[in-house]
Amino acid sequence: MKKINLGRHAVILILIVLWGIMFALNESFRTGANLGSILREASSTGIAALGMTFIIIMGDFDLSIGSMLAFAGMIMAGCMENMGIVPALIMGAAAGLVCGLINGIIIAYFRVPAFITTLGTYYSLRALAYIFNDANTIICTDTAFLKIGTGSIAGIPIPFLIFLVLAAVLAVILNRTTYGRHVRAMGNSEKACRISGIDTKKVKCAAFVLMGLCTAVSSVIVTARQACASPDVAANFHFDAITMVVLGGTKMTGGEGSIFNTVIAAVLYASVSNCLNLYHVDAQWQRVCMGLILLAAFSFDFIQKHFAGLRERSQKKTIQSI
Amino acid sequence: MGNYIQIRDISKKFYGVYALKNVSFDIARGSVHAVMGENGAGKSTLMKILGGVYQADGGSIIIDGKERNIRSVQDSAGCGISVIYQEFNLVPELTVAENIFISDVPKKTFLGIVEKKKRSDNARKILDMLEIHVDPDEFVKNLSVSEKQMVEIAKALSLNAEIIIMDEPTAALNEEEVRRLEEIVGMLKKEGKTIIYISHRLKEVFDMADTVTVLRNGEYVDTRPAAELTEAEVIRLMVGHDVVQDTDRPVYASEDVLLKVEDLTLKNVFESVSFELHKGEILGMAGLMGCGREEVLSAIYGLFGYDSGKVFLEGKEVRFKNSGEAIEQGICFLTDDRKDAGIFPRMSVEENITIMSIRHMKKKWGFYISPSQEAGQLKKMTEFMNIKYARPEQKISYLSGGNQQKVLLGRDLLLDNKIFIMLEPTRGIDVGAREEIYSLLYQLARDGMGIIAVFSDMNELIRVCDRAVVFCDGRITGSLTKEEFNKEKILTYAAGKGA
Amino acid sequence: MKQKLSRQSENISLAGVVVVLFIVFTILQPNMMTVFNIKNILVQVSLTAIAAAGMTFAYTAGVFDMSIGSVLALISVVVAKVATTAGVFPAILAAFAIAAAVGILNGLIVTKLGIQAFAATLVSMILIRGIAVLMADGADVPLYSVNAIKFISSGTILGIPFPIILTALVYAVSYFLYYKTEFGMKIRSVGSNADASRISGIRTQRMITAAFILTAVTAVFSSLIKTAQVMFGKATIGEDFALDVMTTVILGGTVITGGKGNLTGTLIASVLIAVIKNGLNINNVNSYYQQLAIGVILIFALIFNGIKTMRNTRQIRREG
Repeated sequence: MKKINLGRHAVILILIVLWGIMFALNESFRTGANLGSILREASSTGIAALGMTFIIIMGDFDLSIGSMLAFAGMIMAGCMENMGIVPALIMGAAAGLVCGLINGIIIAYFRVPAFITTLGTYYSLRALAYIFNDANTIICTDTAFLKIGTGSIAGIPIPFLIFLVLAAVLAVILNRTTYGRHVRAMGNSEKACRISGIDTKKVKCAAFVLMGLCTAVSSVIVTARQACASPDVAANFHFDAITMVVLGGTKMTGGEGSIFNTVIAAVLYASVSNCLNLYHVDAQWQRVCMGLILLAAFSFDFIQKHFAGLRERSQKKTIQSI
Repeated sequence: MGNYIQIRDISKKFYGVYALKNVSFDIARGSVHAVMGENGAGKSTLMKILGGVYQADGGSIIIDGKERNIRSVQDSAGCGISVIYQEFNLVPELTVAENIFISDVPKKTFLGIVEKKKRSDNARKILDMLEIHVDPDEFVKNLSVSEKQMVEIAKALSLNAEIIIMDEPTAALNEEEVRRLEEIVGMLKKEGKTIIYISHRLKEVFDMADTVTVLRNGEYVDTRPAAELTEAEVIRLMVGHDVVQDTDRPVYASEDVLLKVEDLTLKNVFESVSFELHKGEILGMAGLMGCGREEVLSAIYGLFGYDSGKVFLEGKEVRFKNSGEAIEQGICFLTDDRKDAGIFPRMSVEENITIMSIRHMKKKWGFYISPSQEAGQLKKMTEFMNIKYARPEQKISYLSGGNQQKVLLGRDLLLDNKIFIMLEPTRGIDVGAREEIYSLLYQLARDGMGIIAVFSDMNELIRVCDRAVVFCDGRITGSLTKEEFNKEKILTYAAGKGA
Repeated sequence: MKQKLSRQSENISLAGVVVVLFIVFTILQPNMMTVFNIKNILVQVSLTAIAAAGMTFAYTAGVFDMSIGSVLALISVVVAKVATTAGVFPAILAAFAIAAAVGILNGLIVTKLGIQAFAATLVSMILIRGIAVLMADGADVPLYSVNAIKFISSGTILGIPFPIILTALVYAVSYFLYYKTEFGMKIRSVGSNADASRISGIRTQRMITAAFILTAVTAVFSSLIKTAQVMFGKATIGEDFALDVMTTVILGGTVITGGKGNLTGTLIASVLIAVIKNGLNINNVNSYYQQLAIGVILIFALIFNGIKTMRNTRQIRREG
């Protein structure tokens, strides 16, 4: 008997249904510009969600990415005025890397739970982002840079291309490299990892560095799309990224998850948000909606288990009655 | 007499594997009823069902003529059952007195205020009765293993339950404490309590029990009055056949010293431990729970450190800072905690077996693990050890204990190992798979590997090992060759009374 | 015994840090040492200290609550709405009822749906904030018409500011609950070893839910003080509140992994944080630097905590 794994395919089914309905019902949804903006939106958070997939598979969380994004954006935009685009991008990436490294070292080497550590960096980095330019926004004017956020190649938005390429690379790393295997093993059983000779601290630290780098890439796209870096950007970024990952079926308990599903979930999340906008739903209601979606995604395991239990029990009853 | 407790068709499955299958038997009121069986026979699972920790998948429990629906610990206590579990269930951050009365704080006080003085006094009364010399206000985390065990017993007795279940209460006790426990059981019996007693140790069971029930592989085998049984019969019932002595198995041990440990010491854990392991030798390690043998082996493997002493691998001094270094040098380690520290439960069979070997696999473009190569490794081990699974992508948690263990062994066999450290390699494994693992051990020894194996089951140790060192309280108290092996000798050494 | 002593010395050294910092700030800016300012600090202490007492219970039970900042806002809006229409007492009653409901909800999500406390309260943080903003209709709810509320933040009894009396009361009750009652023992037990507690017949799920209720209920006091200070029902207050409270509890020496809390430490740590904030404020340091300082302090407290637990586990391994 083949068991259909509802969890694995639920996201893509929901996405298809949603898009089907919206294509049929709403004219402004199916315009190229709108679809492009959905994909851009999906990419800017989705790229960070890729890194977050690694972190959650490992059984941890990173709350600091929103602040990290703002901080990296400020550094990048600040450098761009004086140094030009390439050094600025390098500085932005370096900022992400260093932030990730700090998180990683505290979490892995001092064995502090990730959520509290990243809560600390969440506030500190946000404060640094404000301090960097006295709470002022930095405007970016370099057209080549802005192109990263707004341009398209063959009709496909550049951010989405970056997203897909990164997703492909990270999927290979997760599934077919020693490092990826170790990340998944960590989410399964840290004890078993230690006995198997896996350097758990290094693996954990590296995942947070990867998270930092993904956030830096997100920061590039967000900054380029808005043509400015502001210290208050991406306030609920960690929330959105975690929702995408969990919506993609990656288990909160760690150990299993799929990059592909995170990509689909990112598009789904951006689409839902887009639909709510199209129907002029109030921003606060949108947040409440997203909260409920996350709660539903979190409870998915429970619901599945509950229904499996019911099914098994009813089967048993029928067997007994026969 | 009459059937005070009637256990009817109790079944329990874990991950689709039966831990208990239609078990039924009766227990008379006021008797000491021993439940026996090998590791994984389902004794503890049955006790946890009676205690309300697990819920049975099917069957019923009738106590005192009434069918009881035990769905929680509270239900179980409501039926007058109290349980002393095998694993310690004490709260380290609370005191002895708080632990003893954790579920039974005197309720009549205003606002649930705890009268600390009174509680300590009550605790002291119980401790004194049991001759346990522990301060009731001491934190449990500061107690020794045997003290914790005695507190656990005190806690169960404080509930004044009618039915007391003891799940291997003596595993961590010394002879004097065991004798004391036997007296307590006698006393409880006189008071008319019903005691369900689980133990590996035949002697205790014959000293105390009125009736013996034997389980094997989750199934009921037989219930008989203890007076009508002999030790050999019980063992036969437990194992399903007479214990084989593989005396005709050739010994492959050579003179070459593979591993030499000198004066290894970690303060308060083990002290001046020295032994040698030869090529082709299966070295057994015996001792009671908490005797320090697992810790010594973990320290050698680099899982945690030691204060002083030396380890020589083929004559060269080594000190591993972590397990990775030990693995590089050809040492591997099989855990006794397969569920929590062995398998990666949500990963596939294939990924589980290759988790260590992928590091040394030749990779495409320097990083890409080729699926065919991985599949090849699994196939090799599947054929070598006859592992049974549905698909390579199947999650390992759905495999039986024996097959899981083979996968864990396969992990190590895929590397170039010289020394195998194995803790309880046959724990929770059915008889058939057990035999396969024995022959695998012999095969490894024949190929010149050195094996250090920890067995808590004396019969297994005597059967499998060429030589044994016995631990007590972190020291080696005896070393025995195959010719000198017998259970009494090992037990005497393990109790710290070396000849 | 040994344990008690080490906790005592921890508390004393923490108090020492408070005194030293206070002196340093006074040297930098003599205005620090005025009766007015000290009263000011103490009122500020009461804001975090009260909620931190509840949070200490949560940490002890092995969970924690990210949503209290949002609870602060929701209660503020509810109190303002009800007080202006139905009076002060119904408002306070409603506040406690809603807080209890939030606590039960958090508890149920964690225990029944099996979602980790952190994730569950992350969701409720967003939801509760959303509800608060929706209720307030995006604007502040003025409270000018209800002067009685003012008493909560600026009233005095025998010359002692009311918030300080409130803090003292909350801590007295907390001490009593934590150290003297069966309830406190069970909370500690659940946090120290949940499985053993369950097997010993403690209803662990109820205990965890109770810890969430306590956290939310103590947040009501903090919210009342805050609301009375600004005399507005504000849906935007308390954005950094969870951070402040958690930093306080961890800095106070409560073990993050549960089982062992330190109420005295929590109280001293809240004074420490208030002194730092006030000292930086009075020396005209930008508020972003204050936020940075708290964040950095949290990180160092965590590192210190981490080193301590590592040393502890090594010890346990040796003794066990």
